Parts: sequence; structure tokens; C-alpha cells
Amino acid sequence: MRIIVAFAEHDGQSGADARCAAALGERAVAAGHRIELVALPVSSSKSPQQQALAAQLMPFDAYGDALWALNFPACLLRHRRRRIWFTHSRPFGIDPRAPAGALRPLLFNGRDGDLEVRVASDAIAETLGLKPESIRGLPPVGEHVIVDGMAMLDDDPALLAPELERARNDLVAWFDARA
Amino acid sequence: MKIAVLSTFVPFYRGGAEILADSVTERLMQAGHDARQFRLPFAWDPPERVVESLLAFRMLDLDAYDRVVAFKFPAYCVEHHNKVIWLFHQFRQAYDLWGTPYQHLPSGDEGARIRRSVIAADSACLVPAPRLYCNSEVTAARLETFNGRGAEVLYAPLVNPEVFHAGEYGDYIVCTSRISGGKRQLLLVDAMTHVRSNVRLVLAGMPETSAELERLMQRIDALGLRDRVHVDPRFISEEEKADLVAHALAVAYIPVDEDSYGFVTLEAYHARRPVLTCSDSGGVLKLVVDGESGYVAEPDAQSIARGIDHLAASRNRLAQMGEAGLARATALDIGWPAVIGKLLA
Repeated sequence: MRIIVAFAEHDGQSGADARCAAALGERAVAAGHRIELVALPVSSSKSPQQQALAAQLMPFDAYGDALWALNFPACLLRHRRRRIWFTHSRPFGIDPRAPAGALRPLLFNGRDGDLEVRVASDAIAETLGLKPESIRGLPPVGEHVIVDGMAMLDDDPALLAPELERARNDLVAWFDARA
Repeated sequence: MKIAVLSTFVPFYRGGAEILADSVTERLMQAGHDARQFRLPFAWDPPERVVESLLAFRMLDLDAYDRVVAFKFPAYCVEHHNKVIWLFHQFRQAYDLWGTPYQHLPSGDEGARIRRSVIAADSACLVPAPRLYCNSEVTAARLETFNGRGAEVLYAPLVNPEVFHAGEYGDYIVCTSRISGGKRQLLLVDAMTHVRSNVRLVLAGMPETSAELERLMQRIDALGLRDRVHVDPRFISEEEKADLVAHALAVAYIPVDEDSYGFVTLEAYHARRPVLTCSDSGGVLKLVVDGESGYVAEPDAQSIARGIDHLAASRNRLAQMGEAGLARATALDIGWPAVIGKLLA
């Protein structure tokens, strides 16, 4: 399989998520997959909504057989086969002021009944409102063997659709004014 | 200095631009800087993706970095207080390819709106950029023509020039390039029906699509050229490519209006091989001078065939022509010190 492993890199700091992605990639390559590691540059000066929107606009869905995302806002990249593994202690990972549970509607869009997302701690599961049976603990990254562990989250084109449309119109108007 | 190198890319594909972006990052690090590359996709199918991608790059925040280096649309649209643009090419579908079979944008209102957005984005993000370089005269001329902005040319060097070496001159003309309509391997095949000398043609490179390859193979069969044209339709490593070039008679590279001089051209010169190109091959003509460092044919099969026969009959001058091409590249200051110096200035 051709797998995109995506993670956000916050404020120019290469941290645990980058190491986790690299380890995940190595394991996947060893298992016979092709891997493309992608770092998204994000800044805590941008609101979570802006970060979410930027991620949603990236056309990853045109490429690869699957996309694995490790943190916010990489978890919102569009792809027909998206698997999310939250490894960070906070789902947002960057902004402790973000309202608890704000990520949940973006991720699940009311369709969480048949979804699973792997998480690294019960605290994340609680924030996301995951059902107990959906919570699976993970071994340390170095020990994790990739088989079929991560759940698939179907992409939903309706996600953020009004915001996308508004932003697109704003952009066109902005450029038109300067044409 | 903390530097972000921002480029667009196609996941799971590595072409010249991707390799070059990797090399820029590596060379900046070797120069003692904390360089980090970010590669994000850009899509134009369906067409509304163009504007979405543009918006996504505009929304990136790279303020944690002291400098941003960007190459292609829409990566160079990112906002940053200290941005250096080394322009490989604009979104040509909105410019010189608009109104041609290569437009790839709808022709109606929707296409016009997307085109307007691209041009406006370039006017707002590219034209006022204080540090802007182009990779060739062709790119610079296009920028001047369509956007009214001049720019200094900064040529892209080979990533690993030392790999390319000279061997014995063989009996084949080689074209090491992605197999695609724009590179015109079909025209080379057509030319082989007119070649009188005992020269073979070797086409080595990844096909852009399976249809391109199928068309090529069908043409070879239809012309009865199986014994004279060899196709190796896959990704060719640098070492394999160097070996192919090292034992060729000459290198053929006849793209349609190429933006840059083409790495293929410089690879040939490092291997002391002349280059066969066409009068409409764009930036390639910056290095290939007819009769000095290669042969410039008209873009038709008979003229190209004459070029192949001419090179086959010039065996005693092949090395001299290759040397002349390399000397011209040196005179144009094509090398990493020039590139890194400009990007850090």
C-alpha cells in the first residue's frame, strides 16, 4: 500500500510527533508498504478553526491508498482512507485554550457510532467522548506492529463545507479586488 | 538562520523539482543553517482545487522561521516577512497554455474565474516579492510578458554532477526522460524511420500514464522499429542513467518549450556527449548551440533524423561538442555556490 503518514509540526519545533511518524513509517516500510512522510507547518498564533480549514483544503485525497494522521490538524486532512492515531496528550496538541470537545464534531461529524480512533490515553478518549469499547491502549511506538491496528475514518466532503465555501469566496473577492 | 523550504509535490513521485528542493535543503544545512523542508500537494483536478490549494498555502503560518524559500505556484503565495522565491514555473494553464490543448481548465466562466484568481494571486504575491529569481530565461520572459515583472536568472545545478562520466561512444542515441507528450518521444520514434546510419534509439524513463506508454509501443510496432528502438519504461536511478549516457553516441532531448535548460542536457555534457534538441525546445537552447555543443533540428521527423545521422557521422567531434557544452554551463555560473549565495543574500 502507498501510505501517507501526516503530522503537524508546531511553531517550527520538531518534536515527539515527528519521531513517532518516522518510527511508524519505518515499521510500515519494513512491512512492505511505500511511505510518504508529510509534516504540516502550523502556528499556535492561528486559531484551531483556521488550522482546521487549511488542513481541509490540502488535496491529499488525490494521492495514495491511505492516510495516517497523528495529531491535529493533520487528522482533518481529506482522504478516502484516513486512519487517526492520537499520540499526543492533548488532541489539539497546540492550544490548551481550545474548548474541550471542539475537535469532536470536526472529526466525527455526528457519525461516531461506527468509528474508531486509536488514542494514547484515556484523557484523550474522554475529551473526544469516545465510547469505552472504542478505546484501545497502544504499546510504545517502537513496539507497535502495523497490521490493521488503526481504525479507518471515512472522509466526509460535507465536513466544514460552509466554511470552505465562505473562505473560497473571500479569497476570490480579495484577489479580484487586486486584479 | 532557521529556514523553511516550501515546495509543492506529488506524493510517491520524485521528479527533477522534488530532487532539487531536497538538494537546496541539504545544501542550506551544509552551509550551517537550520533548514527544514515542507512538501505539500497541489492539485488542479477538479479545477476548483486550484483555488482551494492556493488558499491552503495562503493560510500557512511560517513565522517561526527566519526565512522562507519557495519555488512553485502556489507555494510562493505563502505569507512571510522574509521570503525568497526561486521560480521554477508559474501555473502555466492560466498563462501561455490558456487557449491551447494543454489548458486543463474549463473554458467557460468557471475556468475564467479560476484563471483570474491565479493571475491576481501572482500579481499580489509574486510581482511585489523583493527577492525573486527564475530558473531560466524562458521562465523570466514569461513572467515579464504576463505579469510585467523582470527577474534575475538563477540556474539550477545538477544534484550529483560527479555521477556522470564519459565512456566509450556507443551506437545509440539515448533519451532519459519521463515518457510524456511534452517530451515528444513519439517524434523521436518517427524520426527513426528516416535515419540512414546504423544508430539505435533508447528511451528510458517512467511513463506519465499507461496510455502514453501504450501509444509509444503501438507506434514502434506500427513502424516496424522493434529492433531499432528500445524502451525501458520505469524509474531509472541516477547510476543507471549515468551508465546509459556514458556509453551513448549522443543524447536526445526535444521537449516542447521547456522552461529550463533541462537536467538531461547538463548530464549529457558532464558525460562529454553532444545533445540533439529542437528549435522549439525553449530553455534547452540556452546550452545547446548548433554545431558547437550539439545539433538543433526543426521539430519534424526528417530534420531530427538528419541530426541523428549528422552526429553519427561526427564521431571524432563528439567529445569536443560535449566539452563545449560543459564550458558553456561553467560560463553561465551553473553551480551550488551561486544558488546558495543568492538564496541566503
